[in-house]
Order: sequence, then structure tokens, then C-alpha cells
Amino acid sequence: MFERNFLKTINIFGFIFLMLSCSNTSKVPKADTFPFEIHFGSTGGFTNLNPVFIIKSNGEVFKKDNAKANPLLLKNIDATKIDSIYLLIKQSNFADLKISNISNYTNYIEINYEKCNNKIMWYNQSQIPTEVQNLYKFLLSIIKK
Amino acid sequence: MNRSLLLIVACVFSASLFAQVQNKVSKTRSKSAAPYTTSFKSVTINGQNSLKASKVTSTTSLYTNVGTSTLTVPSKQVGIATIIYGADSLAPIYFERKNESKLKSASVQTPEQHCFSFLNDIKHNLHVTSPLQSFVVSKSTTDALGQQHVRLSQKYNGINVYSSDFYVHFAGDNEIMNGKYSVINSSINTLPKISKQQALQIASNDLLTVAPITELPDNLKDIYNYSSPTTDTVILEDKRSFAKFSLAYHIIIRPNAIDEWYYFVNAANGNIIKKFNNTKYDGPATASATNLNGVSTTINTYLQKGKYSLIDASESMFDAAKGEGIIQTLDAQNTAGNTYAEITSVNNTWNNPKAVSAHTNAKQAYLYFKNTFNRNSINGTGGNIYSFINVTNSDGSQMDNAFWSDKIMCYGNGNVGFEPLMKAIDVAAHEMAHGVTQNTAGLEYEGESGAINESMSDIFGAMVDRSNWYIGEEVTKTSYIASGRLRDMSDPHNGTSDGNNGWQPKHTSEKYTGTDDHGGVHTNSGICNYAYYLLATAITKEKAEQIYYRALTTYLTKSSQFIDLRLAVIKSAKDLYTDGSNEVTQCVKSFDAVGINEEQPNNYTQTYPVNPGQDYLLLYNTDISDDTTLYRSSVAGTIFQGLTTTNMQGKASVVDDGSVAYFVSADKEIKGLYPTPNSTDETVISPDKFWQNVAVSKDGNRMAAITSYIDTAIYVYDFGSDIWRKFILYNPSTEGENKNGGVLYADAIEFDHTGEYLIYDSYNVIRSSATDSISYWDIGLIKVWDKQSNTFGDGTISKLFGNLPDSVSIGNPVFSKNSPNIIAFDYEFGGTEYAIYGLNLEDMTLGKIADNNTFGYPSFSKLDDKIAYHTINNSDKWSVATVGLNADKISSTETPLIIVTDAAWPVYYATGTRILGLAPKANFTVSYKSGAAPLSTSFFDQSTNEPTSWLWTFESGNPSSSTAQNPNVTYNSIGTYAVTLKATNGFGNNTVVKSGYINIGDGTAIGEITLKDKISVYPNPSTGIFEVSAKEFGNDYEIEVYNNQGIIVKKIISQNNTITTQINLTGYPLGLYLVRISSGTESFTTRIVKN
Repeated sequence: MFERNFLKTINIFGFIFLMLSCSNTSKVPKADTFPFEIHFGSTGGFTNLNPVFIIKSNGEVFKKDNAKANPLLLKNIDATKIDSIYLLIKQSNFADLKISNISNYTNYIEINYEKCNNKIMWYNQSQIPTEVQNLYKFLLSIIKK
Repeated sequence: MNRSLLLIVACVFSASLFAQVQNKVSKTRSKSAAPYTTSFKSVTINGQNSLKASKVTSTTSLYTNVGTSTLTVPSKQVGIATIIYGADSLAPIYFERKNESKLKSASVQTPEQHCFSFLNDIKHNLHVTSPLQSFVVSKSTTDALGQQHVRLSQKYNGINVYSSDFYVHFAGDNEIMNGKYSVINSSINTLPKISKQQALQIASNDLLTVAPITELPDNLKDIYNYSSPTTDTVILEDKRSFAKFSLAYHIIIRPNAIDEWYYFVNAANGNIIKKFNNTKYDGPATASATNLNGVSTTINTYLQKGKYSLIDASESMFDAAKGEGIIQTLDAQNTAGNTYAEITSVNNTWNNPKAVSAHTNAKQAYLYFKNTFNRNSINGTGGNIYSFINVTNSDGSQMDNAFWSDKIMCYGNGNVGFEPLMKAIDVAAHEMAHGVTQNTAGLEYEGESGAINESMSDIFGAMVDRSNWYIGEEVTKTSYIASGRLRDMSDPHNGTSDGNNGWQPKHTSEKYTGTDDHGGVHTNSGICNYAYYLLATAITKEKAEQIYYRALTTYLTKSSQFIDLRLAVIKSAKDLYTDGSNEVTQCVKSFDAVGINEEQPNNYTQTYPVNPGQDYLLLYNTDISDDTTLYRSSVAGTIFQGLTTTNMQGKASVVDDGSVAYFVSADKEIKGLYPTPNSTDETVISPDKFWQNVAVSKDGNRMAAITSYIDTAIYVYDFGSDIWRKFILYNPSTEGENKNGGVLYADAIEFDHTGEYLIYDSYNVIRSSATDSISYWDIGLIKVWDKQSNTFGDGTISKLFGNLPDSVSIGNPVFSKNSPNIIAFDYEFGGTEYAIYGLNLEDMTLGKIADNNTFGYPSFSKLDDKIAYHTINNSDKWSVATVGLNADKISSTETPLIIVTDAAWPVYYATGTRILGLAPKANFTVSYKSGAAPLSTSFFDQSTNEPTSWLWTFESGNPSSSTAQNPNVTYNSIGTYAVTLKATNGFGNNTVVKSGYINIGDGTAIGEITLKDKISVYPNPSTGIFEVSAKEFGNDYEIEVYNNQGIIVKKIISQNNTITTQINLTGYPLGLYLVRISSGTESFTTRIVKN
């Protein structure tokens, strides 16, 4: 009886240990996470009527039909995608970027995070480094229908 | 520096080292290469099979589907025969049976006899009463297999039946018929009612509408065996006729060397039954297709390898050899433009109204620029024109927009606010005009330059769609903008109010000053649009568009502001219509009316205080026998004191107070030393061993550096925050970064006095082909710091000159010590001619300082009265020379003097402390400069160097003075008044006075002031002689008289305080004349009548 109880206790502890070890599925260390809000899209053109996309660090994805419109919730994305965004922001050194290339139709990413507010603009992909291209592609993949 | 001779071995060793020094001191460096790539793919056409542009087109006919599909009919086995019928189910197209005729008769028959025997035998199957009467042998052959082939045509009452053409074959025991003939069951009238000549005339007249007709040269006539159009009478299948067949004239015309046209004209009524271009070639074609407006239109297409594409290669810009000069429409396939596909048709039919609209509108816009301005395509050199349809937003949703994407016009299909945008011609012209702007003025797309950019596109959009002054009226939904038009040039308010969709300002007083939309480029364009509308209404659209096109392509530049637009337009009008013309006057009025006023210049020249300390010269020692590498000498090049033995990569840079000199050592570290003798302190500033050159800001707070690699960047370090920033170098050309090359790396760098900008030179390579390239040095300015926010700048670049002449390089720029706008730089032509030039950045006045024989790396002296630079003396030694400067600091009339040999990279510096700040340069503008009393107007401070206080004085204004930065003032009395502004900051103050600045009238039209108080013209009316009395002036003045056409007819200059001047219109027509009298900046106008 003692052995059975002992084994049972071990199993209980083992189960608890297993649960605790699996509870955090994120691969990004907690120290590297931070609240962010990303605005991205395009500006300009004949009508200057362009949608704005917003992704928040809580996973909410919004779309505004134009700059003046109210944001509408499109979807919620999971922690895995948020983690990817963290990594891509870090890899791109977004806070340090100074990219301001403006033309008739300009793409932009604006990120508020870690007490920083930075906006980059470009109209030709060659104007942004690979890391930013990767970030932008990932953001586009989130909003695509 | 001169030393005793060395041993031979040492000399050889020295020569080797000397070469190394030479390379280092000269501009030539070898750096590791880096690739340059581009991602835009262009469609290629194989022009080898194509023919150069003619105006030949083909058109639809009732028979467009002939030959385009496969007809499948059932076959019928009759006894031992196989019969296959044609589409009409009457006439067999194939008949095969065993040779019964042969079995029946043993007599020898000719193939022709055999043929008719066979046909007669099967005439019931053929539905022909008499084969002998209906068919005619055209050819009879026996092949190598012994098979016989008889080719026949068909006749009706002796007239050829067109398209009837078939064979009878005798192969072994089989008799076979194949081909086409017609079963004619009805009676056909074979009496023509029009003559052959009449038919030919009908065909020729029609052909003129689709192709130019030129006489063929004799040699081609021989080749084609064609001397003139041929006309034959035929029986033609004509489903429109009762008999299903008509008597027709078949006319063959060769209108030019390329084409051959077939016409079939009904002989009874002259109708063209059908026509087609019989020429068989790959190349331009046309088709009829319907656009989004439901209109059937002719479009230009292109046939290649059996497939038609939406490519227009019909214009003279098309170069078949290069495959360039096309107008092409492509399908973005509901992507954001990342992918695209050709739009094609196998049979040249186009059931794609969006593509048709985009295609034809692009053509129409192209033709506008070509026919109106003789512009050869968007880029001016016959470049391709691309349109993408079905472009979506990034998320795949339908796009309520269209845009110009660097080289492509892109159209969305509309969504909430708009219909498919390719529908409207003004949208196409608007986007194409962005391309024209990009390839000419290159107006930056922000602030006022961006608003001008947008306005130019609206202007040319409205000029292509000339029926009204609306923009986008064909595609704007009233649910989005109530007026149904995106913009209205005749009334930018567009029937709504500020803040609502579609509203734009029509005057600078309403200008949007926020940061949205890159400073409101789509909003503030309304001001320029309205100015254009006023001008075009006054002088005609034809004149206005020429003036604006000239302004755009000749005078405007990438950072042009509204005032520059005014100046450019007025200058263009003067170029085209002469100074003083009505066109010029109306240009002035149009800008006055929208508040874009021409301001008087403030000629105040600013300088910094001179460094009060002792001045010296730093010299790099090129004598490799001497360990000391850097010396300090007197400015006369004497009293040398060694500072270091560290070898250097480049010229030293000294803080303004002379306390520290920075340099890059031979091991590529950045180091600093105190340029004082006996100081052994030498510090490694950056231990990274990849640097090439360094510069320190005047205040010593920041450092700029470049690496030794082909690194298209300048790095800036802020000592205060211990942060580096990398600034990417680029050439801000009108086409953006040149895909064929551009900046490779920078070399010489120097901070300006403010510490916000770096002036630098850069090495550029432009590849014109796989093997050819052009390389040159160029100078630019880059903003690396922002004092207001105390952070790094945005890295925007301006090039010193828009274009350099061929074989010219400029480099090694340096600022003067005391004038913020004076620089000197090296000039090189063809690798053989060198000189030092000076430039005043304020007015771009260029002066020559000295000729040289190498790059000199100039340096200004403490007082800016001399330039020091290095040169090669007569003994081939590096030497330092000086030359005195003229008072303008950019030129010299003196002879240079070599002061030191075995030296290079001279740097003047001084050891005193000064504050590098400038007093303001006062300036201002106003919202309304003239008008009827009472006039309320706003003044706007435009002083430079950040004034902290203002003192305004308004003659006869209310208030009469103000200390606000941008005060509002009301004028209640008629007259002309001066305005004064004194702007002050911690470094001093400056005052600007603008006399006669505000004109207050009595309610007559803006720009016209009655002269009762100042000048009188009498008698009025008069029979020819008018006296002008200017007793109030007391100054010289000028009188211009215009007739009622706006043409100047008299110009009189009154000098030496003449009070009374006569205008003599004897001999001129009776009627109304306008008199304009001006003196300095004042002007008055009045009307006179000759009766």
C-alpha cells in the first residue's frame, strides 16, 4: 500500500511537472516580449483612399477601410505569430531604422513599442533591408484573406 | 622637409612606398566590389519578325471566326463511299469511293475526263445539276506515286465562285474528292449595278480610314507583280443576301510596301461585304473591343507566335530591334502587383472591358503628350508604357485607388468609393503625368513640392479629359463624395466643406499644414489647381498647358515650393509669349488670386564670427624617410612641429576650437590627438579596423566616418549618447535609384557649421550595358542630425548639381570657416584637367580658384582669405600651395604659391573658441497681398536661423505693430503700404522692409487699382493723345499699354523724375486699352478709351 501511494504521489508530481513544463509554449523569452502596436499599409495614389491594418501584441488584428474610418476587428492571431513578430522586429532593429522614401504610392510600417515610435516608408522593395522585407511579408500574410 | 639623398636600396624601397603614398593621397583607391541588382521584369517582344510601324489596321468582319475552330461533322458511309459534309450540310467536303468509273469503262481517259466522269456520277451527292457546267479544272497533275490530282474551281454563269476550291484524286482504285465548293440553289443576279471603277473607289475610300496609301516603288511592284489594284468579279457567299450568294467585286489593293488588303464589294449596291488584311506576318494588329463605358473602340494589339497580346506597337516610338516603345496592358490577377500576366487572345477578340479601357486610355494619354508637347513617351525617350489592371490592396480586397508605381500605371477595380478606375481617361492621364513628372522635375512627394506634383497630374488629367474641370467624375460614387467627382479644379471646395471627402483649399490661407498625407499633397494641390483653372480660363487651355508643361520640364526641380511654381510658370510664359504679354499678366494674377505671392529677397549676407585663436596649418608628411607623419606649421608653412608618427589613411579633421584632431590610421582605426607639440596623447576612438576616413563636427559632439569597403553608407557617431547610425547613400535622381548603377562609396566628408549636415563626395558607377559603364565622383549633402529634436537626422540627400557634364568629376568638398553657404571643391575633367572651384550655395554662383594638376583637398584659412591645397610640383613631389581669395570667397585672381614640399592634405585650423550661431535672416509672406478695403490678412514669418522674438510694423494696418510670430492684420484704407519685420535670436537680429507690399483698393478687381490719388491719365476718352501725370511718384516709371487682345502695343520709360508723359495712340484702332504703370515694386493699372 505504501508503494502504491508512493507511486501515486510520484505520478501526481510527474503530471504536475509535465503540465508546468508544457504550459509555456512560447519560444521567445519573456524578457524579449513587450507590448506593441503595428500600423501598416500604403498611402497615396489617385484617391488616397487606402486601408490601414493594425496588429496589436495581444493578437488583435484590425482593418480600417481608410485613415479616417473606425477600426474593425478582422481576427485574432495566436501566440506563435506574435512571437514571430517579436523576433522580426528585433532582427530588423526597427527602432534604429531611418527609411523615408516617399512616392505617389508608398508602403509604410509604423510600430509603437518600448517607448519608441518609429515609422518607415518606402515605394520600392530595394529600399528596405531584407529583415524589414521579411517583417512586411509576415505582416501581409496575417492580413491576407 | 627636404632630406639628404638616400642609398640606392633605400631609394628603390622608397619608390615602392612612394607609390603607396601616392595612391593613398590621390583619389584612387581599390575597394572590394559588391553586386548591384534590380527586381523589375519587363516583357520582351521579338522584333525580328515584326515590321516597323505603319498605320495599318485590320477590322472586324462577319467572318472573324473563320479558321479559328475545329468543325466536327459526322461521316456517312454510303455503299462503298465515305462522305463527310461541310458546315452547310449540303456540300461534301470529302467523298471517297472505289473506282467504279474505272471498272465501267476500259477506254483511256485523261485525268480531266476521268474527273468529270466521276463528278457526274456523284452529282446527286454533290447537289450539282451539271458538274461540267459548274466546275472548271484549274490544274491537273500526276505525282511520283502515279496518283492523279485534279484541282477545280467553281463557276456560276461563268463567274468564279470565290472560295470554291477542291480536288479530285485518283489513287489506286479509289476516287476521292476533297475541298470546298458551294451548293447554289437560288438564282443569283449576275448583272452588276455598279462598275468596277466605282467598286474600287469604294474600297480605296474605306482603306484610307485604316491605312495610309503610298505608291510602291518600281522594284517592289516587280517583286509583288503588282502595279495597281486588281478587280475581279466573283460570286461570294453572303449570308445577308436572299440568295445567300452575291455578285461581288474582289479587289486586291496594296496600300503600302507591307500590306495587302482584300475587299469584296457588292456589285449590286456597293456595300462592302467583307474586307481583311491578307498580309501574313507577326506584328502589330488591331481589333475592335468594348470598353467599360460600353463603347466599341479600336485597340492596337500584337501578334506573336500565333497569339495576340494587348501590346500596342503601332506608334513611331516602337523600336522593333530593341523591342522598346510599346504600350502594354497586363493583368495583376487580383494581387497587389506582385505578380502579373500577359493579357492574350488566340483570335484577337477581347471580351475584357477593363483591359480595353486601360489599354485605350493609356494610348490616349500617350498621344496627348506626344501631339501636344512632342513628348516621346513617359520618359521622353520612347520608353515602354505599362498598365496593370486588377490590382488589389495588400490583403486582397478590391482597391479604391489607382497609382503610379515608379514605372507602371496601376488600377484597382473600385470598392466602396469608386468604380473601376481604369474606366476614366483622366485617371490614366493623371497617373501618366506622375511618370512625366518623375522623369522631368522629379518633384518630391511631400509638402508643397508634393502638392505641385499632384496638381500637375490633375492638370494634365483635365487637359486630356477637356470637357470639364472635374477629376474622376466618371468613377466617383456619390455615396462617397456627393458631387460625384473626386476633385474640382474650378472650385476646389467641391460643394462641401473642410474636413469632408473631396474638399480642397483654393487659397494659401486655407492650406493644410499638418503631417497627414505627406503634408497634405492631395489637399493642397487644390491651390495650384485653382491657379491653373484661373489662368486657362483667362488665356485658353491651349496656352496654359504649354506654359505649365514648360514650367514642369524646364524650371521646376524636386524641392520646388509654391513660390517656385509661380516663378517657373511666369518665366515659362515670358519665354513663350514675351515679357509684358497678357499671358504673363494672367499668370501673375492667377497666383496672386490664390495667395502664392512673389516675395522680395532679403539680401542680408550672414557670416559666423571669426575664430579668435591662433591659426595653424596641419600638414601630412609625404617624405617617407621621415617618421613623423603629421606636422603643425605656421600658416606660412614654416616652423614645423611634429605631432605623430602614426601613418594615416586620410586627411585629419579638427574640432573648431582646435582642441582635437581626428584621423584614420594606416591600420584603419579612428584615432584622435591634441594637435599641440609635445603632446603624446593619442587615443583610439574606434578600434574597429575597417575605417577609411573620418570627420568631426565643429562642436566636437559628433563624428562621421566611412569604411574602407565599397559600403554605400556614412556612419555617424554621437559622443553624447554613444550611438552609431548608418546613413545609406543614394542618388536622388528623378527616376529614383538608378537600376543600372549609382553610388558605390563615399570618401571625403565634412560637417557644416550647424552640425546637421555632412557634405561628402561619392564614387558612382553607371552601367550603360553589360560591358560599358561610366564612373565619376559627385558631391552631396546629407542630413545626419536634427538640432531641434537633438537626434539623428532623416538622411535625406541633396546633390550639389543636378547633372554633371560628361567626363567631369567633383569631390573633396569643404566649407569655408565663416560663411555658411560657401564651399570649395576639386574639379576633374577627363582625368587630365584639375582645378579648385568655389561655390556659393545660396545662389549657386560658381567661381574658379586655381588650376591644379591633381585632386587638391582644399582647406579655407581662418579668415577665408586663402585656400591651401596640395599639388605636384615640378619635381614630381607632393606639395602644399596657397592662393588668396577674392572678397566673394569663391574665386581668385592671384597666382598660387607652393609653400611646402613633401606635404599633402593641408588643414587650416585655429585654437580659439567661438559660438557658431547666426542671427536670423528676416523674411515673411502674407495670405492676401491685395484686395478691397477692409482687407483682413495673415502674415507668416519665414525667417531663418530660428528667431525667438519678432517685431512687426504695419503701415496703416490694424494693429500697427505686433510681436506675434504670425499676426493677423486688417487694412481699412485704400493705398499701398509697407511692412517691416525685425527677427531676433541669441546671436543677433535682422530687419527686412518690404515697401509697397500691401495694396488696398476700392473694390475693383484684384490687381487693378484706380489712380486718382497717385497717377492720373487724361483726357479719357481721347481721340489719340493721353497725358500721364505722375506728380506723386517722383521716381522713374514705366508705362505699358495693352490692347483689348492683351497684346502690348506701347512701352514708355519715363526717367529723370518726369512728371508728365504722353501716350500717343494716333493711328491705333479705336476702343479700350489697358495702361499699366510700374515703378520698382509698385504698379498701377487703369483703362483708357480711344474714340
